[in-house]
Amino acid sequence: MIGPVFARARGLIAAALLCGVALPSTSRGEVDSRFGVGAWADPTVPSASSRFAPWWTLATSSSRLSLQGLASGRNQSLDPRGFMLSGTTWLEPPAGTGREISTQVSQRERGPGGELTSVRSELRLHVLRPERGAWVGLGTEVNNGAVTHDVWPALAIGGWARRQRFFAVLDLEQSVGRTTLRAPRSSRSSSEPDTSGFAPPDTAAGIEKDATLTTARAALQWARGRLALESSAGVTLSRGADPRRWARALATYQVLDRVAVFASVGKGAPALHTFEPSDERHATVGVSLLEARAPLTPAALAAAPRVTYRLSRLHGGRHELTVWAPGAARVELMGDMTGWEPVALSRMKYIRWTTMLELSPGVHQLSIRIDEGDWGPLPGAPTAPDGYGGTVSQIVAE
Amino acid sequence: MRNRRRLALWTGALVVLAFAPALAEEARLVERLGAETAGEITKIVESARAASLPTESLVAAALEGAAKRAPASRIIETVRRRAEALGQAREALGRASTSAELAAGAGAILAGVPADTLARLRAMRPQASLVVPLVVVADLIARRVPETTASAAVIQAARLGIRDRDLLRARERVEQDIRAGRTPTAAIEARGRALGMAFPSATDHHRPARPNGGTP
Repeated sequence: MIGPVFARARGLIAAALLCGVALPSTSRGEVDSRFGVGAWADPTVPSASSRFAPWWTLATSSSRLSLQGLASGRNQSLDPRGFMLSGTTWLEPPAGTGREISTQVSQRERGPGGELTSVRSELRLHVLRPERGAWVGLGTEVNNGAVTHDVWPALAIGGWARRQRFFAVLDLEQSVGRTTLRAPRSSRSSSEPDTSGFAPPDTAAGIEKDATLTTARAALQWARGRLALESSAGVTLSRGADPRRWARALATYQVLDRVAVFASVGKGAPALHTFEPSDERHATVGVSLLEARAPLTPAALAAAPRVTYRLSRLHGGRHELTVWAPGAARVELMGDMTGWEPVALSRMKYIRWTTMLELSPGVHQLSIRIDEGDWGPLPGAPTAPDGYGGTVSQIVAE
Repeated sequence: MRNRRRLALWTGALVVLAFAPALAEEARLVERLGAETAGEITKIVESARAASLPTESLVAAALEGAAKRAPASRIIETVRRRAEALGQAREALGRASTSAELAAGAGAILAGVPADTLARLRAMRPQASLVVPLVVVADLIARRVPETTASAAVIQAARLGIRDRDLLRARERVEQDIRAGRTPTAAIEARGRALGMAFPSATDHHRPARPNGGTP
């Protein structure tokens, strides 16, 4: 079933430009802000005025709290006009567990003159291990508009595992979404007008309406050096409707430090707010000026319970050192590449910190410290005695 | 006359270019360590340079000591020991060794790896880089794997043609096993056997390791 999704991919070519500005501060409680603007172009839409769908996004995150805003432009063939604001707070994981509280408020246009306002709140509890984790979430979603549907309880359950360069996520989540109900055989042939008080769009297959969607998803990510590949597939179920199977593949290649090209094919899970149309099969190509790596899920990012690192060679001697440090407010390193002077890493997202290093081929020694604690080796990296009674990390640059 | 002036200018420029890095290095040492300690360090560095040894790791070791607020005497002693280790590494690995191999070899010697292990590794891999095996053996010893077991493991890895990436992966798993509560010896033996290595049994430590029935 997944094969035809790619084989029949609609000829939608979207060009997106995601640019951003990071505003790190040197004090504790560092805050990063990013914004993005872009537009989707659909050459299959006949009207030039509705061929483009602009969107913008703004995200701000500190060590415990992240806020995100997203708005999509008016284009009925893609996403309806609307906005979404979401906030997530991550509470300090005590001894292998964590709590995540999120709230999302969104509003979107629903047909001519109709609007749908949605509020979703959720609490997730995590169980964390070094290379794997699981979570269970309980929430509610309340909708107000011409067509309403609430869901309580909205359940979420999932797990993740990380091994070498692979990262896998399996989850199941309930939400409100639009679905196409199977029309009864008798009404499919009927030409009588709708008298129910609202006029949801009819399709050849049935009637579109909001319903509780249950989505099961499996995602696998692989990253090495400049290349990252991500694939996800799932099935979305709702009462009275046929199952919707979807699959999507994404490739990201980092060309320069903060410039990457990406391409995707397939369609994603049904969602109220996305950068791109999620219900249509499509192919995309784009350029990203920030967050060049394929994104991991926020829950999975937050769920890594111990400090780990990755060293990626970019071009020439330029390397990107990424450190995952749960609960950290500040991460610094010093080593032979910095003349043994401390350098603060930039907080990229949730618990991910990065810095660019100029490394000649060979072995390099370094130490890190978190929240102005003691200097020590980078967990997971080879070590050696430092000659001063301590230990340093040794990393090998190609 | 004009040609002479041009020649003099070119010569002066070349002299400045040749000595600029060394001057900048010395200035940095003075700034971080003070003139007296920097002078001692510079002597060791110059001596190593005269012996055609790579000096970057010596300057780095001095700056590391300054960053860690080590006493001047300790910094000088650490740099001196590293310079000696660089010389031993070159003797063991051969004059054709790269700067990266010598730096990694010096690190291994300072971690407690005998120079003989370096020479045997070179004999096993005369052409390929030894940076990764040397980093791995130093790490194993730092994690309290007995020196003989650690040396036997990397020598067998070289003999079996195990790729550097697989060796690094095995090291990572040894680290995870130790974190999980395994003894360092049990961890390296289990991970080494998975790669086809052989280790003497616990009651047979006096015999050298014989991978797959071969000679150690």
